[in-house]
Amino acid sequence: MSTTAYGTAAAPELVPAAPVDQHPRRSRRRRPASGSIARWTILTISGVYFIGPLIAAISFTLQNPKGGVSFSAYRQIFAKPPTGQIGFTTALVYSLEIAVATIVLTLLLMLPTQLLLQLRLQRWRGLVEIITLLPLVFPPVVLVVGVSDVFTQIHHGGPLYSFTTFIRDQHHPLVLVFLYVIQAMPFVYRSLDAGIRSIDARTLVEASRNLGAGWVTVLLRVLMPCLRTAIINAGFLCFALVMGEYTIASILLYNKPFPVWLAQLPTTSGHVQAAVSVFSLLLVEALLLLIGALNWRRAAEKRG
Amino acid sequence: METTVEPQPPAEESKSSGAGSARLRRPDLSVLGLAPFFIYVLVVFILPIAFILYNAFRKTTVGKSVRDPITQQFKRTSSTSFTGSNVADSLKGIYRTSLITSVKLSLLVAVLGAVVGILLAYAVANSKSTLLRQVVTAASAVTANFGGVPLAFLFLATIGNAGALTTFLNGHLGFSLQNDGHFQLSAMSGIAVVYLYFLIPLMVLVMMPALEGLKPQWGEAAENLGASRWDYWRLVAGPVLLPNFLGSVLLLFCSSFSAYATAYAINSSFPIVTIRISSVLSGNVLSGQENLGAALALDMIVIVLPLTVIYQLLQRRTSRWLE
Repeated sequence: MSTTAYGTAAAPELVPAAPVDQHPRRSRRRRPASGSIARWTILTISGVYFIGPLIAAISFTLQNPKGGVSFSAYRQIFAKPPTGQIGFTTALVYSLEIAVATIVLTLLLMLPTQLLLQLRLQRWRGLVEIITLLPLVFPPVVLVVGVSDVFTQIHHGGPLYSFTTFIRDQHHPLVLVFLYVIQAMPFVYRSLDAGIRSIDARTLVEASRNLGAGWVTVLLRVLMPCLRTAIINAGFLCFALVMGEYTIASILLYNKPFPVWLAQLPTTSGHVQAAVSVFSLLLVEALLLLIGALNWRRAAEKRG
Repeated sequence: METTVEPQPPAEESKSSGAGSARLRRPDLSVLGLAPFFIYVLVVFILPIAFILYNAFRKTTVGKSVRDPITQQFKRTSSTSFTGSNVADSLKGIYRTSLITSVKLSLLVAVLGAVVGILLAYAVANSKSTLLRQVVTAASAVTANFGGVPLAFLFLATIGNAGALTTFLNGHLGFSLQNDGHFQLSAMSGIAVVYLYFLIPLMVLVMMPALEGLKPQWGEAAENLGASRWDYWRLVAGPVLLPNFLGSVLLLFCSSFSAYATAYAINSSFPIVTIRISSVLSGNVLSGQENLGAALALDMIVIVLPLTVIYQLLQRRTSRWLE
C-alpha cells in the first residue's frame, strides 16, 4: 500500500491546478493514486482468466488432428444428424419455442400484477416482492424434487393425471414453461419494477382515462410503450435463463432442450461440443450487448 | 384453498382518485386482480415445496402379500408412516460426504470469488477510464449468467485432459497439469476454477454500485481530520462496505451451493449434494429410500434459507449508507 512515491508520476495529468470541481469523483484521484501497479496487475490477471479460456477453446475447436486449421467442428454442428439423433437446429428451435412461451406467460402474469400493485394495491407490494424472491432460496434441484414428488402422488386415471400427462408431453413440455416462469420471477419482477417506478404510471393512467381511453388502450398504447425497455430486459432475462437451463429439463428427462442436447453429445466429439459452446456463448453475448446498447441509447436519449 | 388471497376490506384506497370516487366506493375488487399471481405461485411453487416437507418425513413400507380370505386374491398392504429416518439417512454415508463437499466447495469459491471480485471491482471503479468501467460491467453481466454446460465445455476444451492449454504445456514445455501441477479439472480445485468464472463477475456486479457509492467527501473529511489512507479504510470505508461484502459472500455461497449443471457436465460423479439428488431421483437408491431425495432437498433448504434471510438483512443495512 506504500505506493505514494510513484503515484504522482503515474498520473501527472492530475497534478496541475485544481479546476472547479465538476466531477466530485475526480477529486479523490488528485492525491497520489494508491497502487496503480496493483490495479493493472489485477486487471491483467482477470483479463487472462476471463478471455484465456475463450481463446483456448476457439483454438481447440479449430485444431485439425492432422495439423493446421480446420473448420470441420463448426461444419459438423450444422451437419445432418444420424437418423434417430437430434440435430443442432432441432434442439435450438425447441429451446427457442420454450423461451418464447416462457416470456409470453411471464409477462402475462407479472405485468398486470405489478401494474395493479403500483396503481391500486401499494399495500400488497411487500408481500408480492418477497414471494417473487423465494425461487432464489429454493435451488432448481430442490424445486424439481418437489415437482416429481407431486407427479408420483397423482393417481393413474383421473382428470388430474391426464392433465399432468398432457403438460409433460415431449412435444409441448408445458411443465418446463411453468417452472421457468417461477425461476425467472425474481429477475423479471425487479426489471419490470424498475421500469414501472421510473414512469409516473398513475398520472399517465389518469390522463389517458380523462381523455377517454379505455383500459385496453391505456395498457397497450400508453403503458406498454413507456415500459418497452423494462419489458425487453425482462424478456431477455427469461430467454437467457431458458437457453441455459439444464437442471430441471434433464432431471425431468427431456432430451431435446438445447443444453441437454449439448451435454449428451458423444464425448468423442469433444471438438464439436466445444464448438457449440463457443457458438452459443457468442450468440448470447451478442444478444446481451444488443440489449445493453438499446438501454444505453435510451438512457442517452433521456439525458439529451 | 385461497385463504391467502382473501381480499381485505378496502380502507383508505378510495381517497386516492377524486374522479372515480363513486366507482371506488363499491367493495374494491381490484385485489382479485392479484389472484392469478397467487394461484400460480401456490400451484407451481408452494405446492411442490410443501410436498418436499411432507415426503421428507414420510416412509412407505410395503408389507407382505396377504391372501384375502373372501376374494382369494393376493393383496399387498402398504402403510405410510411419519418418520425421521429419511432425514437421518440423508445425513449418513455418501450423502453426508456430499453435503460436506458441497459446503466446502461453496465456502472456498465464495471467499475466493468475493476477495478477487472486490479487488477487481475496486480496480475498475477507481480507474480514470469510463470506457473500462462500462466494458467490465457489461462483460460481468454476460459472464455472471454464463454457467452450466457450455461453460463446462469451455474449460474442458482449455484445461481438460485433451484441452488446448494442457496439450500446449505438455508438448512445448513438458509440463503436465495433472502430474506436475497436481491439478485436475474434475477434482475440487478444477471445479472451483470453473465456478469462479461466473462467481467473480457476480461479485463485481454486486459490489460495483457499493464501491461507487463511497463518497469522495468521506475520504477528504477523514484526511482533513488527520487520518491515514489505512485509517480511512479501517474506520470509514471498511465498515460501510462490510455488510455488503458479507452479504455478497453469502450470495456467492448460495449460488455455488445450488449449482448443478456445470459440475455435472465436468464430472458426473463429483460428490456434491445436487448431483447426489439427481442420482437419487433417477432411481439410484436402495429400496425404502425413495424419499431420500426429498430429505436431501430439505437439507439444502435448511442450509440456504437462513443464509438468504441474513443476506436480505445485510442488504437492507447496507442501503442505509450507500443510497
